Amino acid sequence: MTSLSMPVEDQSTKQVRLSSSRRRQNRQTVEAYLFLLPYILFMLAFGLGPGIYAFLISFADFSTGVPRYFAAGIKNYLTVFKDQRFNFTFTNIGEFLLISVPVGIALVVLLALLLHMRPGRVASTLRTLYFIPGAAVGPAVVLLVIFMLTPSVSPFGFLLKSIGLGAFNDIITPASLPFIFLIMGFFVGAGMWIVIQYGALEGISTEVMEAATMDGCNEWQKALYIKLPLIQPYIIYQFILIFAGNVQLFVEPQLLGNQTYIHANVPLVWSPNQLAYSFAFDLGNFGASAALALIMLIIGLGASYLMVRWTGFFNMD
Amino acid sequence: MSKQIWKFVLLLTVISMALAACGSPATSAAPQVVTQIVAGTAQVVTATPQPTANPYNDNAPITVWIDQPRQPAIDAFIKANPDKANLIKTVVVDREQFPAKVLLFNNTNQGWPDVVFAEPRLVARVADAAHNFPLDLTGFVPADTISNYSAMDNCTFNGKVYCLRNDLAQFVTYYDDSLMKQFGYTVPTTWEDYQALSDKVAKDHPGYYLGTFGDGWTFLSFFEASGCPTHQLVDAGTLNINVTDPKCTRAAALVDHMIANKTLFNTDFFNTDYDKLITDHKVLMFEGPAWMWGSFGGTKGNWWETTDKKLGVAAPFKWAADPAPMVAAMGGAAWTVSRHTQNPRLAVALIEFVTEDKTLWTGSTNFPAYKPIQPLWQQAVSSNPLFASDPFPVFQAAADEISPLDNWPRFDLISPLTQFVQDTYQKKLTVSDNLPEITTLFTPLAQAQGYDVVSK
Repeated sequence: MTSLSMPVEDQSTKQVRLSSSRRRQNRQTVEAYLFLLPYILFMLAFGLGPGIYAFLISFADFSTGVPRYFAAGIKNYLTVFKDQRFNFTFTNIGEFLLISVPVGIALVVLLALLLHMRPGRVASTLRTLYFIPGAAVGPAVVLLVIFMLTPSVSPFGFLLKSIGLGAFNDIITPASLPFIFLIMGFFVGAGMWIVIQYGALEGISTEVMEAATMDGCNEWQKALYIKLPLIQPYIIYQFILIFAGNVQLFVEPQLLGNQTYIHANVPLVWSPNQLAYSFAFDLGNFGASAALALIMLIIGLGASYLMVRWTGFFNMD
Repeated sequence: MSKQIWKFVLLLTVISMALAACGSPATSAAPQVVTQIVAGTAQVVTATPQPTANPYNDNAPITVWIDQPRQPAIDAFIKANPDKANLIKTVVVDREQFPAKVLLFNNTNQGWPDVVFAEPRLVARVADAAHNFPLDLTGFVPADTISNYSAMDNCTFNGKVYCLRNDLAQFVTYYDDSLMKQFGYTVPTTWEDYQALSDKVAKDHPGYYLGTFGDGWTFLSFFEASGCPTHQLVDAGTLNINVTDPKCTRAAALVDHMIANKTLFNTDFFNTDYDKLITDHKVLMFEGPAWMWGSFGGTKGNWWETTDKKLGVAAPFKWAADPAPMVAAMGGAAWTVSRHTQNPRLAVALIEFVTEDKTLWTGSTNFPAYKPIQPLWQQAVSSNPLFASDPFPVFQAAADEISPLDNWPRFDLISPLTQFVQDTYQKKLTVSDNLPEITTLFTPLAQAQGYDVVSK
């Protein structure tokens, strides 16, 4: 990284004779950058690089199959806004976010607080159990959920049948989709977040907790008035990451909506990311696809920015 | 400190821009104004001309995209041409992804397969300006050879031949001969008789079925066979979607009638529940594609029992008012060659071999599209103990009556139609009432592909 030598180049010869403490500080900076290097390289290759490429091709024209850069102007953005599926997909994802983000955070925090109330073997066993489903990734979870929600093969088939859901297609309907995706997401992600929030609770100083006990707090009051405010930054952190993750919903509706094999009543293009995929691979318009991806990025960044500003997240410590 | 951070961010941006620039294909050729068919309509566009095709190289290797059942055909070609063995690389792919993959290769300007096994509906999707994939075979396959293939209409686009048909998948009527004799029924020839029979079965033999209606393909088995214009190509740029046509409403009324009297099951052909009904001899008859007897009966033996001459094959139903049946088709594949191939002669030799070779087709359960080998195929199926009577005349007659609706527009019909059928069942509507939903589903898909959507 050439940037590492930059501060040195800027120095005059006089300043090169630094005090030993200054030199040590510089070396520490170098070490810090070295530790950051692998992450930065990957972020460049798989985060920032593709982002910039998307920005570039969002202005490219693809009507002849090969990209012609800067030939489309803002046409691709207009194509996205004018598409009949635009409103539909954003309504869907909005509904999903409204349900999944608060419910996801509330359940995770509740479980973490409950675990923290009764520390010991039971709590640590449960924590591990919560964590295990995280080993299953998106596509596998979709298959698992299909299996679980098909009454004729599901181990819980008798439960489903007893409430009048006799077939897979009684359960998967366009109206139930946000809840189905919530279950899938929670199943996979909750364990990790419980561990993180539990860790945050462990970090609360014992003196504070002891003081609360001395003042006559019961366990519920402690959870509500002491622990919850103290782990607020972690909750905001969870909000930002869950929002950014859920707004990108793709694998679940894409697989569940696979009419070739699964035959579920899932609209062909349900989420904005599927719309982006459809632009690219059904219509060959990679430009519109990139434009939509950038719109999604702006939404995610905007939501995070508002949350950070509103809560003063970065000022807290 | 904060200044340093910004310097760092700037540097990252510069580096990543450089990385992004490296990734993009170098376009050295100057753009020029040409007339092209873009999404179905001729327009003047500025296009970068394709680099001049490399001079053909008879020793260039070719990549062949197939599905698993096509492997023996490729093996047979290699056996017949051992000197070409190391030039042929086969890859088993999900061909539904073929159009999407072509778009990616167009972006990177490399990586296209040379030969692809795919249905004409998929070839149609890679034949537009954005995909620009298939090679016109007219210069490589003699005209009299091409005329020996059936159903080449589906492979011909604006006078260019973009594929050779492999097999045909015309629908015929499959029936359980012993069950029909036992109940004293005769096989209907018209859809009206079929509906009348369904009332008899519902009354006298409840629990027996006359078919299924549960996905896009089973939808087409009724509606395409009725000539219903859900996806009728008027010309290369115009699509007619009119579900109020009497040809649609009559099919919808029939399906609703048979759903109501419980003689139509509610899944696709491949659902395990439907499979079980057939194994349990609860299905009297249904319309199925020509290849279906092979997939389910001949080798597996659990669908229709194989040796007791139970499987009857009759002509597909026609509407009494129509002069002839309009036969739907489910698949029926073809072979297409890439315009980017360096070795078109080997590619064409391969696709001619796998569609024309006698030994290869003698034992096949697919109905061959290449007419000169149909007599051989006839000998094989006619002596097959599976059938109650010689099915070949039925297959052959139906092959000539495949509906023009089997020419698909450039978007997938099955997924939205499956969604339509599922939605109809879920909302507990009748097919007749929900039919306008198809217009709602198809219109944006058609418009996105550049079609003028009309309703007439």
